[in-house]
Amino acid sequence: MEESRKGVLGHLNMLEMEANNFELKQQELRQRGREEELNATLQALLTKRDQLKVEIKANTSLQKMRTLLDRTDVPYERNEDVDDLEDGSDNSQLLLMMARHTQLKDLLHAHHLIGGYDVLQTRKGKGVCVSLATAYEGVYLETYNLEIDLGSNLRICRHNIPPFIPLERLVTQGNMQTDIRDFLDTLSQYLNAYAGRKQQLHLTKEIHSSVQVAESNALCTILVLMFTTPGEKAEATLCTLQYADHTQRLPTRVNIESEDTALVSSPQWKKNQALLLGTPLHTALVTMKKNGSIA
Amino acid sequence: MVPGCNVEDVGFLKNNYKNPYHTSITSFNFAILVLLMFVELTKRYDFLRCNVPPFIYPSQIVIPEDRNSAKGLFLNTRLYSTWISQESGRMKKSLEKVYEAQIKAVREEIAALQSQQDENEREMVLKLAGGHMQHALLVMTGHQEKETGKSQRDITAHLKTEIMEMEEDLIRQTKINGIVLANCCVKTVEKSDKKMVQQHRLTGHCSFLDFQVEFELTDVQEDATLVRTITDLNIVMDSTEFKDFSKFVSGVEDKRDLLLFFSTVRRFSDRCEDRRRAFQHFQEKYPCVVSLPGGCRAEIMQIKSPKLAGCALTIYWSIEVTSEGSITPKIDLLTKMPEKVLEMDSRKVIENAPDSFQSLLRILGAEASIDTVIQSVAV
Repeated sequence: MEESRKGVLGHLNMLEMEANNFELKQQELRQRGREEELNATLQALLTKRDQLKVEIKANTSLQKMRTLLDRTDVPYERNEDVDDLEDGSDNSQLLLMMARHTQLKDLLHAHHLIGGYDVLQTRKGKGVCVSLATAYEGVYLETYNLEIDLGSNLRICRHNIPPFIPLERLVTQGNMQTDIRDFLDTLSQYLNAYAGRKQQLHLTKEIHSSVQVAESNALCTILVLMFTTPGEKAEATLCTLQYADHTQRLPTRVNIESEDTALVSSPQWKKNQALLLGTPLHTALVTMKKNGSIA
Repeated sequence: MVPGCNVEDVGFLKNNYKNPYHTSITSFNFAILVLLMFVELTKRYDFLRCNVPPFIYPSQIVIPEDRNSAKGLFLNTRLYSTWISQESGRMKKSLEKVYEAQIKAVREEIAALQSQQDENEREMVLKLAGGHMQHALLVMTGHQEKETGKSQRDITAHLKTEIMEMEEDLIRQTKINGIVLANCCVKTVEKSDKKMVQQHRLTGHCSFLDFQVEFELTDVQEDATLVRTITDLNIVMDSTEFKDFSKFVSGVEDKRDLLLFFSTVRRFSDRCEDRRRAFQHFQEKYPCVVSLPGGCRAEIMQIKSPKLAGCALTIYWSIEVTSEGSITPKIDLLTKMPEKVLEMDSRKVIENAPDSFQSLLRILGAEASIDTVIQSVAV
């Protein structure tokens, strides 16, 4: 009994010791695993850091090169200053080319942004595509495209210009054959004026809910607006804006009609009429609302 | 032997005192390399090199007193080993801390570098470049051929072709737009998935008109459409002599009408060129009669009769620009005659000359009308 108990205890003791040992070993293993994990993380981070350092260095030298290129107006092949910048390695030539690449890209994009015609050769130089950008008060609007056939006679073969723009007349009456830019300038004026008038109408509808647009045409050259005058009578006033010059965004004639004939001839409304002639519609209406002419 | 230590060449005491003696403790991954020099005279020994982390530098280990005897040396080694093996337990924990501290430091360094990189990207948009530029960038950042899949020579050649194409393209755009852009500087102010704000600074010229234009461009992606707006437009022009033009410029700035500005500059300079051509033509054709006191780009051309002293006609050719960008050349004839001449002019030809000139303009056009006026004086 004693012996067996001893035996059992001894066995248990042994088991406990084994378990302890096992636990220790496990701990050891865990510890090592944790260390390895940490080490791997550190190594990966160090690699990333080194890569970043290299990238920053490349980027900085590229910027330096670009600044140099921007300052000197010399064509980049013959730029001697460049040799001093880098250590004259193979990379300096590549760096110079990259700087020139970014410079050209920026310049071409700038031409696009300022409303350039973005001329593009098509059909192996037999034709060109030009784009006409429109914008109004800082907002870029539609862009229209023309494809011109460069035969012995210039000819527009495809375009997406709205039908109410007198393209045919501009082609026949203008000097498209001799001065393509003059033709494009005129067309661009028509398109920009149209886009501007349309945008004014859009803004008017958006801002001034009390103003009713009774009539308007596709080219936005005739607008009939209905105003409500504030006060007890709340009389309706009809305002007709005519844009005779289709290259302009401001009306050439403003006509105001009301049942209250005294109102039309009042100095206040004479002023409003002048305002409508000289300022964009939506801003003129803001002023008119402020001075209490319309509700 | 000290448990947990791997002591090499313990028998050195008998054999070779001058040999380097290694003790390495493998259990904590660091090997301590101890070089013990037994110098006959002084019988001193020392650590020479070790790669134990700095926080457990061997100098911290106390060297026992009995350092001169060979027995002491052996004991010392064992002592060190024991000490280190004890230390290793402590070290394991501090090692973790060292790793963690180092990871934290590198993370911070990376964050700083990343923000510098982001700043660089704002200065110069490279990531968008793509294609051969991307390859070139990889070469620049030390990537090997294997990774880029292209040799540096190939990349250079491709880049060269692209540059040449772009140069040709730039010439084409410049020609058709009539505007020479010399410099363009772009800086990204804000960038996210849906919105990008960039500052642009352009310098260039259109004929003889120099300009510097600064504007902020905002691109917002709204569903399928890109809404592009210009906020904050600033224009600097050298030509202060054109009063009408500077008024137009400030109006354009208020309305941020970048496109209108450039199309008007172009048309305005075209009309100025017309005037310069006409003035120069008349000066060359009638050198004795015509003079250009303000130069060929000015608004004034003087016609003086060589025979009649004091009689002068002036052509005042101005180019008006409205705030909406419409351009109208205006040509006037001004007369300057002595009193006597005016008295003799019973039919008031001179007095009515400016009006008659206007009718002439309507019928003949600018150049023929001016020619007629000059001929009437020159003959």
